[in-house]
Amino acid sequence: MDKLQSNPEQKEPQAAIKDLVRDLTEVITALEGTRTEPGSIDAGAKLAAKLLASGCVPRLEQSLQGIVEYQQRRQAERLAGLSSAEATAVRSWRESGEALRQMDAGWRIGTLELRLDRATARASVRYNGLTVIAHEPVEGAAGLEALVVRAKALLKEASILPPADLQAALWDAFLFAAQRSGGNTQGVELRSVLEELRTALVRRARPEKLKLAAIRLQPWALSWILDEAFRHGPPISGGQRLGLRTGSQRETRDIGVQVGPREPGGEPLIYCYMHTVAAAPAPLTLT
Amino acid sequence: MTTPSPEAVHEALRATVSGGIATENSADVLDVGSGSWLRVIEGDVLANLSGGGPGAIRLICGPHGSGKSHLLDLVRVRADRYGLLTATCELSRGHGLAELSTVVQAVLGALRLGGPDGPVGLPNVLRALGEAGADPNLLDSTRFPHPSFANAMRIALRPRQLEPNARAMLDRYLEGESVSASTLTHVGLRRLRAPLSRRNAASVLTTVAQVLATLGKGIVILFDESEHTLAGRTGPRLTAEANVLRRLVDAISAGDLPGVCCVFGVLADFTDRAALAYPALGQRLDRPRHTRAPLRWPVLDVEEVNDHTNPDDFADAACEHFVALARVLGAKRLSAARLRLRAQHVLASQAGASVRRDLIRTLAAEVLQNLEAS
Repeated sequence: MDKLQSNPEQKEPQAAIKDLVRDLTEVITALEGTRTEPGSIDAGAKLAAKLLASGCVPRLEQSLQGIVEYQQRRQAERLAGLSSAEATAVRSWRESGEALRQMDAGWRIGTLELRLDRATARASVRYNGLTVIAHEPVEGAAGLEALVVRAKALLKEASILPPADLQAALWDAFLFAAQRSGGNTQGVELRSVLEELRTALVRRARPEKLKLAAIRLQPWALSWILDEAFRHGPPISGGQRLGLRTGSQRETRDIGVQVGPREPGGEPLIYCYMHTVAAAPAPLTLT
Repeated sequence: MTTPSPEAVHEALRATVSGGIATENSADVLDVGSGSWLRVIEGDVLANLSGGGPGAIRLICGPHGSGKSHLLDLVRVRADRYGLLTATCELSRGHGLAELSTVVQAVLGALRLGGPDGPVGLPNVLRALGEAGADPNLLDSTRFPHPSFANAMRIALRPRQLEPNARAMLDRYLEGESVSASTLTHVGLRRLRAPLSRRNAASVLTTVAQVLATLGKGIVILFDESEHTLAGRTGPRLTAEANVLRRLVDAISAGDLPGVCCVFGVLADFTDRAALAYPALGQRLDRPRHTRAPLRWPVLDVEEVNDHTNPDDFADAACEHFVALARVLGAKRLSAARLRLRAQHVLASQAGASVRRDLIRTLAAEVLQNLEAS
């Protein structure tokens, strides 16, 4: 985000605006009065005349104009530099071995989707179609790379439990959702499971992480946790494993939930139901 | 590839600089690195289409400016060489896949035989085939899904027997317009019923493919996506588009459309959109991502189609190619190093496959400028 306060060029106009606000507040106080002193038109007019004589009103206009022009200049610079910033960042990702795929409106970087709004030089990051970082102005290649790093850190933070506990929480959520939908475990709406997952995770989280869990469990975080739970193999409990199932075209449209691709950079998948199936026996091992 | 004439090179460079995209005629002259994929397409698909060989479907995915239309041009030129019929259809918001009958009508109207100067439209193509000696009797032994349409195609092979009025009506019927049976009977065309409609679009397409296959002609249909189709997550249009595409993929895979090859040049996240719109379609268009897919794979990214997947390698190959083109034009002082400098500038200013159009245009402009200066 472009920090106006940290820019030395903008310190003077900001100070001028602050001064004027203070002077105007004095005029208003003089006119309206306080709890102990009644307002006085004379005192107010005197202060107002002093303000007008100081020439601060034209200075304010100049300061406001300066802020607008500064923003426009920065925006023009960002727009002009977006393509080269993108080229540099892409080169860097490519060199670091990221699974990279160009999309119409940005890039798929591993499991993340970087969206670029080329008309306004802003970028956002999504996971499974859900916004992790909303649109932010692009500050050069470093800014783009930092955005992706930040999104990855957010995803990592969202894994509030070890994989085994995430899987156990998913089982809990599945059973809650199944109970709510009449006890049938052969096809529970995936979005109901995700609704229950929030509660199940908070229950399973250690007490000191409760606060964190409550804050971080945004939709993208739940989606990440669902993928994370399956990334370590299907969650198994009591000889049964959890599986995901697609639905009809209508069901996909109405209740479909996007989950992560099978491999980084791959096409997203969409599922409608979670169900249980008999877990395959453990593979034989030669001793 | 044989060395192109100076006139062809000059025309190709000029067209690229002014329009940004190589014209159909100049596609081969300007191509950089598509040779291996084209040989696979020719050997695996085009060579087998005539006479009702197995159909095929190919998707080339890439962003705007990455060379999808150029690849479609290259396929079309090769299809012409094999004597196949071609039809190019635009895919956009206005011309989507939502209605199969609209797609079929577009194909019937765009069918072309024998290159840019050949006859266009199914009626004209059939007349040309008839004049070239195609035998309508070959159609007698087969029962087609839409007998009336097959009959109309048979009549079109011998147009001289028709009055001008009847010929015009037959043309309209064959182009997929709604012409009533009574109107057709009135001009002497009997046993022609059920013009192209939403209900019979699939059987009309199958009939056209089967009749042409019987006559020894395959069809290459090229779909060029210029605007997002399959956009959004919901809505009846999206459902319809996904269904039409799935039916098309299944029809070709199942052999219902013999001798038909569909090549789609689609925008970068088309397969993602397909997967989200209809998982069954997504599964059909799935492809491995952990490794470079083989050239025979039906769904490929535009970079994978090229011998030079890395942008720097592509730029190097393009510079060498344009130096060779400059030599054909007699500009001997232009060096690859100079072109590389220009290429590096373009590469630094853009990311991904979209850089290709600007790169080729820049190099073409440099060659022309050098030619004028010398």
